[in-house]
Amino acid sequence: MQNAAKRRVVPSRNLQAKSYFQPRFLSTEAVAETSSTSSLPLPSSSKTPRQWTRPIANGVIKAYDEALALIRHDSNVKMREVQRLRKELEMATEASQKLEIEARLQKLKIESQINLPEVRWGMKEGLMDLSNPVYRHLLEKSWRKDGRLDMLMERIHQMHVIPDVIPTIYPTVDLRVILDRKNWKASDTTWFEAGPGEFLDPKRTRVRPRFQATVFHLEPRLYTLMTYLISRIKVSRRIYTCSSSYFYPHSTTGYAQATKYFVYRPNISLDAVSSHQANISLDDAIASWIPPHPQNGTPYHRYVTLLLPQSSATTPIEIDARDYSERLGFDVRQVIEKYGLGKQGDGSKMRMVPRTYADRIGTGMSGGIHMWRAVWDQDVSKIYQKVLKLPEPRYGSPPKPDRYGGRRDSKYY
Amino acid sequence: MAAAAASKGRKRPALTPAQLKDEAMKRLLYPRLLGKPRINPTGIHRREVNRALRRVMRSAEAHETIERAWQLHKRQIREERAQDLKLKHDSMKNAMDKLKKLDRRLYDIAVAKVDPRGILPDDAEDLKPLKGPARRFWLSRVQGLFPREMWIPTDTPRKNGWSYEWKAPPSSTGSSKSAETP
Repeated sequence: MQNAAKRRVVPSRNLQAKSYFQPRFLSTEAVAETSSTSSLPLPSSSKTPRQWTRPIANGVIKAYDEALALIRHDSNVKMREVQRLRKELEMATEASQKLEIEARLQKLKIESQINLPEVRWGMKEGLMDLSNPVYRHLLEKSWRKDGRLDMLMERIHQMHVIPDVIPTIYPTVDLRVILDRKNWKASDTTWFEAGPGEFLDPKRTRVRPRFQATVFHLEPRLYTLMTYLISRIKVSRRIYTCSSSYFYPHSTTGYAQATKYFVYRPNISLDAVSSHQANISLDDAIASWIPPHPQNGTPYHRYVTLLLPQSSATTPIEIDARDYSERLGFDVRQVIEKYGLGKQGDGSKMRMVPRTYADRIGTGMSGGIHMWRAVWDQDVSKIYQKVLKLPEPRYGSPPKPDRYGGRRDSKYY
Repeated sequence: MAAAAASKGRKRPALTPAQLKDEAMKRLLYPRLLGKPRINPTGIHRREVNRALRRVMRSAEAHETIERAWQLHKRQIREERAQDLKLKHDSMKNAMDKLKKLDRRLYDIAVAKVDPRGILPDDAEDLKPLKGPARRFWLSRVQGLFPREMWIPTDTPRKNGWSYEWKAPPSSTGSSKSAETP
């Protein structure tokens, strides 16, 4: 009781304040807005949009007051500079001069707002306007530096997704795979994000997951989304995975080829403002979703999702759906080569891309990638029975020849 | 060894003066190493930082704001200093470029690097009368380098006291004027 009286009460405006000073990944709770019901308790009287307020009153902590004053002053100075540069840009005539001023202007726009507590609060709460370059910068920085991209690339390389089907990828798009599941209350659904490399139960992926991509460019560009299953073909022994009883998922000596696609949808238009936390619409996909069905007796399967930019940002590519009526034998590399997917222009212009591979973005693979794994479950039998309507295969090692000619009945001779 | 002995409750063996000095230094440098060390002495991971911060700043947001402001302040100072130096450098470069065009001879003299091992022509007369140790002393001094007489101030005076008769050895550049000190 005495301690409660001594403690200074600071109102916590952050509803999810779990612990201070821990690395905060970008709040994925905001994704809840797109699902049917949100799992977050929002304030009851939220008619007006939430605004930033000072966490500490004036005069309580002098350092904080001084800090605020310094930040505001610097921000004002830089904003005036931004106005001046804008006028200069209008009056500039040469193209090279214009480019230079534009680069400086862009950098200054970010610098003038990045330290503001309103901006930082907006990022934490998920209330950001992505037409403002500051939020785009902070979002991309959070994706690249706070660990989510690192985890993705680690899993992609460790599970051998990268040299298997596509040679390499330098992600420029934050691709998320989100699944819905029913709560214990049947009327309620909740969502969860599949992390890269996670095992997903086949019953969770019976319904198509939702794909959300965050791109960091303002102008709309066209992308192609594909989800496919990786499997291996041992060329030396000419063994095909789906029709034989052998299955080698991890050997590195064979040539890999994706055998089955689950989603293939070209000409998706994405831009920073509209695509963030918005489901990619897959109504016009080439074929409907069939649930992943890892067979009994096989090791885990890897299901890879690629979101690749198309060579032309505005002209859609023509796809004949009849070419892809057969799901088996979907050659990802061939599709990429045919339509020139994955080349996203000038990497040197993208500020957050590390300089070590900025020059390779334009020539090599850029876009978004995600991978999840699945292993056989009794739900797969149900999928075979009800959805695919095929007899369920069972894989195992081939029977060994009996060396005792049937005479191994008793232990003692 | 000594710690193990102490933990068992036995008498510690007498430490030599050198060991006492070491212990004093250790206590000064790594205060928490004795006993149960909870902090990495090299200071990379300090687990008490979060706890201490929470006591001082109850609001994480205020802490972040103050951090940002401090970083910004350091950046402002850095950029100001860089700008200042740049202006000075540009001004010097400008002047030298102009001098190069105007008078090549003067430019060459201004740009010439003095060989610290050599003797400037102005000092040749001063050097002539010097012989033996005096000459060697003068020749071994590197022009422009800090003087040999420079010393870190001590708490107590010298054994031989203050030398009032000391005179600075002849130096033509006269750059390091701490030759005033004996």
